[in-house]
Amino acid sequence: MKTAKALCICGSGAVSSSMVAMKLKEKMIERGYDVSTVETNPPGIDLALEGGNFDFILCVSPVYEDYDIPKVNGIGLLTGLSEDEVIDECVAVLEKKG
Amino acid sequence: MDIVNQDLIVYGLDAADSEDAIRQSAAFLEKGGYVKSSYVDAVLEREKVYPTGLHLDGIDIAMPHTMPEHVNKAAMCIVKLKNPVRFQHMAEPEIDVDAVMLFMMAIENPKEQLSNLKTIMRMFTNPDAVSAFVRAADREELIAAAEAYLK
Repeated sequence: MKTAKALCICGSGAVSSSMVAMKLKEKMIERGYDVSTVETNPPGIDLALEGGNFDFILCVSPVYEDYDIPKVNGIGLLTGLSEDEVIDECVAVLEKKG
Repeated sequence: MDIVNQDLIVYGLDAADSEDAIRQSAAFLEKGGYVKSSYVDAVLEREKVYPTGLHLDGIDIAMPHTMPEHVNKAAMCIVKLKNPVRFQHMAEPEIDVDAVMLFMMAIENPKEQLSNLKTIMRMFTNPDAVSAFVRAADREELIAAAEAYLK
């Protein structure tokens, strides 16, 4: 199993981000990734990134600023309407990183 | 928390707009002692910056909530509105969401509520569950849908 680390973002930094974090972990295991997550809100991103080594940012609320790592829109995990597309994108980000 | 609480299930709430819907729904949580008096304004403020509207499969909803310091005890107020009110979309605030239902959450410790958050998310992503909430045509049916899919 490969490992990966995602920073999950929502407005409260706790509710929706925790929901998508659980779904992300569950779905990524099926793709061979053991994903660990940290949840925060947009103002908390800089501090969280200092804690380091995140592979991507999974956003449920909009994150307008760009960072050194890719952002993936995770709303499809919360609504269930495009779960596979979101997971495909996360996998693509990780594969590209190698 | 037991997320299904009949005192917090409201059918046919008549709200003029999203603020009115939030104020009326928060009043149920406040009356039950689940939230502090600061909760409602905190939810309204947060909704402006980080909206909570979502398009689910077949229904538009909103899940207004705010930071734990405004909450006494975890709970969720489940509201089916008489008429839809306009929220903005959580991921893309420029998109309008005409919410028919509110799932208003009072979360005091998210880490302890993971199983409940999972249950709520399972409901959002389960077409049978969504359809039960869409079809609910009176308070009893709304309670039945909540009991079936949020227990």
